[in-house]
Amino acid sequence: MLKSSTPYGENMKLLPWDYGVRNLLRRPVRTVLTAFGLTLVVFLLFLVVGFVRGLEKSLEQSGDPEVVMIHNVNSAENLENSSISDEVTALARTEFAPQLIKHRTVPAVSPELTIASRVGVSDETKGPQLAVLRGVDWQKVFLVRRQVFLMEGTLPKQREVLVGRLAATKLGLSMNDLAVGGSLLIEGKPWKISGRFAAPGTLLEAELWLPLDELKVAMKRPNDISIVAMRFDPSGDRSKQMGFVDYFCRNRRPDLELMGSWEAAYYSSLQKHYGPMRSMTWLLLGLVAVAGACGAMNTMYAAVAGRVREFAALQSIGFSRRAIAASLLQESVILAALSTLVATGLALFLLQGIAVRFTMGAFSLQLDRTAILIGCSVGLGLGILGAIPPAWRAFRLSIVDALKAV
Amino acid sequence: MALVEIEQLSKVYKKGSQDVPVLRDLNLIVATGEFVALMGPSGSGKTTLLNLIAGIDRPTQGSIQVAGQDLGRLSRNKLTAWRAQHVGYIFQLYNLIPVLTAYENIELPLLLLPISSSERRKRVQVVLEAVGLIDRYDHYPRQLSGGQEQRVAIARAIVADPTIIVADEPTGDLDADTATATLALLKRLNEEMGKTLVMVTHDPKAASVAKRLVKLEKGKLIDDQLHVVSFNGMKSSPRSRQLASE
Amino acid sequence: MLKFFPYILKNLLGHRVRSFMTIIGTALLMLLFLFVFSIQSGLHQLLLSQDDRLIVFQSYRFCPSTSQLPIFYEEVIRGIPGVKDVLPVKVVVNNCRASLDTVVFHGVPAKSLSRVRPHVRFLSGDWIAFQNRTDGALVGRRIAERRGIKTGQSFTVAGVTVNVAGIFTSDVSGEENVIYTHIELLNNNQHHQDLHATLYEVSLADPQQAEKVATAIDAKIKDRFEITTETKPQKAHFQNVLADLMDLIGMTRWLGFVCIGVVVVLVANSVIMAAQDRVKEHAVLQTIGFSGWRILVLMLTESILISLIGGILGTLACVAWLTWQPISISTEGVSVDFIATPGLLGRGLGLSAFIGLIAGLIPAWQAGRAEIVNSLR
Repeated sequence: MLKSSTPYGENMKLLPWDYGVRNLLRRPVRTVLTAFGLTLVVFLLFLVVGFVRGLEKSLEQSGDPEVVMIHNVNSAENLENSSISDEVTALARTEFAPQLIKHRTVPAVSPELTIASRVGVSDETKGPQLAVLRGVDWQKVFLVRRQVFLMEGTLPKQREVLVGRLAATKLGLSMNDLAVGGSLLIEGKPWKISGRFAAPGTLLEAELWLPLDELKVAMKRPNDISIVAMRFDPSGDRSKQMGFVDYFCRNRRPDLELMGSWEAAYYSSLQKHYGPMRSMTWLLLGLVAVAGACGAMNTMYAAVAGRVREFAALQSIGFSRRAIAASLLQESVILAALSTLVATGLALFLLQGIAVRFTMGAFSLQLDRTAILIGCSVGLGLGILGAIPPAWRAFRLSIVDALKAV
Repeated sequence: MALVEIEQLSKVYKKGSQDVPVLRDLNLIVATGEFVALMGPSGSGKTTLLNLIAGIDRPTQGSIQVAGQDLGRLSRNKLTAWRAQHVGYIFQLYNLIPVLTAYENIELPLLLLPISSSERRKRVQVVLEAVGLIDRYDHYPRQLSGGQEQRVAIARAIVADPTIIVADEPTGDLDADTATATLALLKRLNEEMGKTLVMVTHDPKAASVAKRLVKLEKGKLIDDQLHVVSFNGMKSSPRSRQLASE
Repeated sequence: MLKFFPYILKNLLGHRVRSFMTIIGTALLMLLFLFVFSIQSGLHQLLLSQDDRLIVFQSYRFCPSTSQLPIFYEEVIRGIPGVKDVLPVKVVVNNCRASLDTVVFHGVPAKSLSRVRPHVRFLSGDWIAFQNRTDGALVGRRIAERRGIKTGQSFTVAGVTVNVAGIFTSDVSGEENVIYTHIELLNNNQHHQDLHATLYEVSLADPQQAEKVATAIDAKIKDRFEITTETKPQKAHFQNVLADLMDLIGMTRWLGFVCIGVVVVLVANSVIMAAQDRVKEHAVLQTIGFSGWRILVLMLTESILISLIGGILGTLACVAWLTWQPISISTEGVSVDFIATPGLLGRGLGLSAFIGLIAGLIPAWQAGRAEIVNSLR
């Protein structure tokens, strides 16, 4: 039994720990139902938090903090719309070489063409689906895209394509449909799948990578690309590095209508596009949480109503109203904790890593530390919230009234 | 005329794997219009007997006929319907429905009968007046005293004009004055309205209101006396019969 | 049964806190359920929309900015047998991705719009005002309310500056999220022959001939020009565009189903508590003559009532929310409205009642089957 002193020097004995546990077992059906309801609520929470965290993290991680993209000044928020002259690649190499990371003597500059297009598979029952194609220079791209690594097969040769690990999800297909050795129809022509790449936690994983020159021909864009991605030396002064880029874009070649953006900042800015959706999600979650609290509160109110005389007896013995209220809180928190534990386990088992197709990409549900912290906090919070009003009611009941109660 | 005929009645309860005999080979006849008190120590089977007469429990062996009906042969549903028509039950702790007013509690049995709402209203008013609670018709049980609650319970028991009224320790939870008033009411039901009453009681004073006293012990009938009704004590009538105990 | 209604109602009111919690919890969850299924309704309505139209889009393209069909394709398409009318549309969006706050411009030949959109009703402004200004815009009601746009106002979004010539309302799903403007404006006021359209809307003389006409259009253009097209019925076009949202919408369905599960648990728990509290009361009722069946029906009615009240409140809240704050989700320039159709609301109410039935069935059955003597003790 725990002891503590009040300011008046009295001993405030708390009820034994197992009193609360046994009371939960007194009405097993109610307890199990309430626990089941709370488990569902917390599981739902994890589903939604996992979705939001997955989206947020994929946007965070997609942006490499060392990478600057040069793109069209009019497409600051939609790089898919960007179109710049392909001479920018050579210009960037010359202009920014001193500040860039180099591999042997080759500066990390990657020209890329990003196009959303419909792509079909050999199985005609599965119609063409929207895919994000990225035309890259194999000699250069891995200098800049350090998150990307080849996990299966080989780099593409002519009329071959490299598929991302989540590309199948993005296309609504199975992994078998995009197996190495298979083929895809791009612009009506078959392209062989030469390999698969991974770029964990980024939106790049949902893409299909092709040789840049071939994509330009296929898309009838012989003279332009979408962006030039460059990787700056992290030991340099970032503001100076961007200063160079801005000067080049605005003053040296204003005719090319260029602009430079840190890739990380670009993806962060995308977060705000999903702001309303995230707010909506949290609002909906709030509704579910309140409903969960109603359920918990119901059970705890019933627990109080059914034990009024018992509380009177406990008070007669010498336990304070505070101790009784604490015991009620304990019961509710135990119930909520168990439910949260089960929900967490289920969520980690069933939801973690599930790929979700979402506009312009795909990402995996992420139950990271933040998500688990949120889920567990809310779960336990429901237990506390559910107990406070009934505990307060028990706290206010005097012995005499309690003994009179039927 | 016999209203209740009990022959070789036995009742055994199961407690886990054990059999607990509560009544053993009981024989009893209650005539129409009688007021019978069942007395005996705790565990003697008096409440069990009362419940069997009221049709809320079933015998293990033997037969029990009430108002010409062999209760052991009725199905659960038929027994329920029979109860609605023939039995008024008065509980020790009143057992009023807490969310209903006095009026609504009394009206409950009438909801089971095919009568109009105006007829229901009339009957409830009559019994409310009979028990002296017409001015408390809209009070909830929590707003009534113990005695008033019991009067509402009595009103509920008689409103459907049952053939037999059973009462389980009707004054067990009342103070002396209220108990006296309640017993007087029961007496009136018997003498003025001709109701047959079977009452379980521990209280000799309550038992003295009845016209006949039946004693049970360990599930067997050990004494069965007619007596002159008196509030001062019991006087045996020359017609009392002493049953041999086993 | 009606005569027992006061008893049922009084039992609900007699345990105010429990009833209140159950009703509120049910209301919130039903609100959520109806909300997530309202997007299903919106999707359903969009995909059920008129199929007497074909959409001509650039082959293998998806994002509106990547489809650039020359303006002279209009005449080519018009010449195909079976084509009744052709409308070039230039689509500009501020955000290609799924968003609740997308601005979608449809640039069209100003004089043609009134002919092809006769169902549009003006809340303010008119066709003349729209046609007379080269930067004139007709703004759909939903987007006008969302962004606080008024007639006569100028605003700039996605690099496009327009003057609001009118605000319209439409029964076509998604149309109230569109801002109509002049096609020349969205093409940076180039010469007519240099204009491009994102897509062509083709009205058919005979909708049964849709496949045939679509094939003919694609074949003719492929035969003569470099930029090939893919023509399909409008419904199929929307299905393609919205394919990326399907996962999300599918997930919200599961959210809705889990909500129903939680409601069942909430109501069941409430009924069980009621039954456990009234064990003795039910025994007394049986003593009086209430059959087990009647007690079951009384408890079930209580269960259905509490669930239905919650369902009604949730339904009213959903209607109020979607009326006060119309919501749409857009992707690739196509919008899906959150619509609480009468059918959906009816289904929600029916579901509430059904939940009350199944949640209360077992406890009510047990209450009706209870042994009187044991229960009285």
